[in-house]
Amino acid sequence: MDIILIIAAFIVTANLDIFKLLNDGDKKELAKYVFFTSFAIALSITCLLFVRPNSIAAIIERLLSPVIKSN
Amino acid sequence: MNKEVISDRQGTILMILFVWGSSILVGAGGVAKKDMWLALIIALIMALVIVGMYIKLLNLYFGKSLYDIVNLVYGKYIGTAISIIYIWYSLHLGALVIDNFGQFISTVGLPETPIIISKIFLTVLCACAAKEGIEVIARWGQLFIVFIFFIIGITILFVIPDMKPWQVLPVLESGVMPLVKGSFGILAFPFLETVLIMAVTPFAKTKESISKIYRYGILISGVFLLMFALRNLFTIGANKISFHYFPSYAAVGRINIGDFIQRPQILITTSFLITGFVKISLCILATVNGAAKLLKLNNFRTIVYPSALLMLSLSTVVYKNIIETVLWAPTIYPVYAMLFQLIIPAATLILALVKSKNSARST
Repeated sequence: MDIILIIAAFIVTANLDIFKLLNDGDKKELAKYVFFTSFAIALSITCLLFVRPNSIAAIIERLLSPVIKSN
Repeated sequence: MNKEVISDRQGTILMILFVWGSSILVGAGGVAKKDMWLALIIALIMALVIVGMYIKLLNLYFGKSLYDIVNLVYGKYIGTAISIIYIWYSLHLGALVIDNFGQFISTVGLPETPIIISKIFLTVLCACAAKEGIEVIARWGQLFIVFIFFIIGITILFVIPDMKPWQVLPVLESGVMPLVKGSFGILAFPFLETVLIMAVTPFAKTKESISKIYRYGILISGVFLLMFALRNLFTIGANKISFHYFPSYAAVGRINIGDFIQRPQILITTSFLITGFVKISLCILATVNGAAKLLKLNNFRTIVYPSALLMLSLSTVVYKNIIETVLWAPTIYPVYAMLFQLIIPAATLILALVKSKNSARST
């Protein structure tokens, strides 16, 4: 359910932003916005689908384990 | 992009609310147990010294944000890499606070409601505030900090009958190491998280303003954190603090004045919502400021919603459960945050000083 709700929120807010950018008529800015939003959506889906059984905290802990053990 | 400027008082208030953020609820320095108050004092003194480094850096490049500074000091490529590191840190910190909020609501208020629902509402609200810019958040903070001071006063006053000050004795019962660990924990969370204030758009009026905002902000928030810690220690004791995920909430739950005023936890909940709201909004601002600089956008406001929603997605995977939150925050987070809070700013300051000396010599 999380992923559906978050993607829905992305679509609703992106529509609001895109209407404003289309109104301003700045195509370069619009292209950058579309790129950033697509990147954010892709990263969100990656997080929600592939990190989920694990957690960012656990990944960081594993990465820092040599430093923590030496201390 | 219009330059946004706020007064020294508003800046200090933002700093105070940012530091209180989630620490007002989850507490800080639990590792030090009975010596939590001593750890807080040590961390406060250390923080006041270390923020001197941030102040010096901001004064050397007045009117620039952290992202501009790293680009000027390290050059285009390394500067961009460091900017990405700070964008990640602000995203991650925002996600951690959103998750704290969600866990809190889910644990104490709405156990049947999916945690994502409360997180979505909070995040969208914070994104709306961030979209309006730092001036609006500062004015909002100025209005609501009065309410928080009132809540703090009321809660401390009402728990006085339940206080047992001898619970903090003996001092250094568990030795020096827990105290040192507790001090470093408090230094990393929440004091040095203020490094992200440098990443928010440069808002100080003058060079003196930067120093005032940082020093008064850290000092006032630190003194109040000490008061919260003592309130919790005196009321529920160090051992019970470690059993509670939200010690302030538990301490205030003891209030019972003549069987009439009872369990006013809504007060502490309100103060958490206010401070958490400001902290998340500032994290969003720090993220979008960096992303807008990276993408060379004319206006950061267009990417506020996607950034906030990315933060929301991250908040669902930052921790597996609340137990991981309690274990990770005091042990791993201080080591992880050291890179962003201490190592990169110190290296940047040294390089900036060398560069300014070289340029002075050549002229």
